[in-house]
Amino acid sequence: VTVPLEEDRSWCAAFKRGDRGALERVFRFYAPHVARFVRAQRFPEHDVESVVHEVFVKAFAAPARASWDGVRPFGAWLTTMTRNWLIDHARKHKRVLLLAPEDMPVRADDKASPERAAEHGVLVQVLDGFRAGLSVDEAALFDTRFAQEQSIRAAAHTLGWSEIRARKYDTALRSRLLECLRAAGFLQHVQIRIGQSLMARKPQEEEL
Amino acid sequence: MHRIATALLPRYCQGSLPSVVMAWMRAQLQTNAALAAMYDGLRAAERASAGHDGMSAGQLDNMWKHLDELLDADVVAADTRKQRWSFGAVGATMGAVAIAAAIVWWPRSVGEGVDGGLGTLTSRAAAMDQAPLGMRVRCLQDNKVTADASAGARQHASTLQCGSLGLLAFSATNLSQEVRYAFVVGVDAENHVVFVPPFTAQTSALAVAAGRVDDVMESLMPMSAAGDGLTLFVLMSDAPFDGGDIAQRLRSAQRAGLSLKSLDRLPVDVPVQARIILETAR
Repeated sequence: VTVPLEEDRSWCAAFKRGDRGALERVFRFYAPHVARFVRAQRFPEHDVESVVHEVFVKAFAAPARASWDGVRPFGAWLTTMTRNWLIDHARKHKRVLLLAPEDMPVRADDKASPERAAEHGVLVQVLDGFRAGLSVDEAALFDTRFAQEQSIRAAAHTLGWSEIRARKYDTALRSRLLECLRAAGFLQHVQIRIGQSLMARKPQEEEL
Repeated sequence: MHRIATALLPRYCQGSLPSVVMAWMRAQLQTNAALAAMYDGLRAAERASAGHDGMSAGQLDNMWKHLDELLDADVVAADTRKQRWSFGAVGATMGAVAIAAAIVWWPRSVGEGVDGGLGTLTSRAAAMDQAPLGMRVRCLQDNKVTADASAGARQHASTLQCGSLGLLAFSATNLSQEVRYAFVVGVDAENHVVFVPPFTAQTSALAVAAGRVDDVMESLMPMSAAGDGLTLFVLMSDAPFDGGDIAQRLRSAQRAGLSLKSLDRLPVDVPVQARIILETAR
C-alpha cells in the first residue's frame, strides 16, 4: 500500500463502511507513522505498541470512522488522535510528557532524531557481526525473515523448507540474537530507556 | 515466571503462540522491565535489519491479529457501544472501559444461554432483589471464625481479610419464594480464572432452596490456594446454569483482551453478581 487513504476513493469508502480488508490496509499503512510519533516521546517499544493499538481501536470504532470527512489527510487526523490520547493519558496519570503539547509535531516525523540515528548505527554494526557468525542456512533465514520481512510461510517457501523447520530455525535465531544483543551491551542501553518510560509501570519483580 | 516469559519471547515475536499465551506475554511485558528491554531490543533489531524505523512486519502481524480478534468480537466496530483497549498499558483506562464494555456489550451479545439481553437481565435482577439473596464467606483459623463477608443481591461488593493459613467456608441464603442458583468463581491479580471448590468448570450452579438461611457448603478453600488479590465473583440466577458455560465465556472474554479483575460484573448471563475481594491478613 503506497497511496494515502484520502487519495484512494474506493479505499476511503471501504474504510468508512468498516470493511475488514480496508481496516487492515489502513492499519498496516499508518501504524508505523503513529509508532514513530509515539517513539518521539521516548516510550519503550511495547508501550509504543499499546498506544498504537489504543489509537487504532479508537480510530476503527464506527463514530470515529463516521467523523472523518474523507477529505482531510488521514495521517494528520490519526496523529491528532494520538496526540490527544497522549495528553489525556499524561493528565490522568500525572505524567510529564517529553514534548509539551504545543511542541508536538502535527504530523509524524519520518526522520529519526540524531540520538536514534546513532543508536541505529550501533545496532546495524551489531547485526552485521551477528549475521557474519551464522551458518549458510541461518543467514538465509535471517535475510528472508529480518531483512526482507517475509512471513514464516513465505520464508519457508523461498528457502524450500517446511514451515516447521523455518519456525524452529527462526525461534533459535531470535534466541541467539537476544544473546548477541545482550553481549554487545545493547539491552542495558535499552533498559535505561525503559527506566525513563513515561508509562505507569509496576516495580520489577525479578532481575534479569 | 520470568524464565518462562523469557523462553517464550522469541515465539512471541514470531507470533506463533496461542492467543491466550500472547495475552499473557503482553501482561508480562507490562510488569517486567527486564523482559520489556529484551523485547524492545529484538524489535529494534528487526527494524534495523529491515532498514526502516516504523514497525517490523512481525510487530504489525501480531498487532493486527489482536485487533482482528477484537473486530471479530465486534468490540471495536460496534456502533453504539463503548470502545475498549486491551494491551494493558494503562490499567485505569482499561478498567473503566472494560467495565463499560462488560455492562453495555457482553450481556447483549452472548445472550444465547439463559438470557435474552441486558434489559431482561436487569429486570430479572430487580425481581431477585426483592428478597435477601447471597453468599457469605467465612474465614476459619484455629477452629474459629476470624472474619466474614457477604455479597449478593443487596450488597454488591465487600472485602474479606483472612490469614494465609485460613480456610474459606461458603454458605448461601435465599429468602425468596423460589429456588435460586448460586456459583462462585475467582479472578486472581494476574487475570487468571480460579475455580473455587465446590464450584468447578464441571459442576452446575448450586440450587439454593427457597427460604434457606446460611446454608453451609461442605467444601473449604484454603487461603494458600486463593492467594492475595483474588476477587470472588458471586453469581446468582433464577435459572440453572453450569460452570462449563461460565468457563467458556470467561475464556472468550480473556481472548478478547478483557481484564476480568477490573470488572464489576463478569461477562456472563447471570442477573445478580457481586464481588468479595480477598486480602491476606498480615
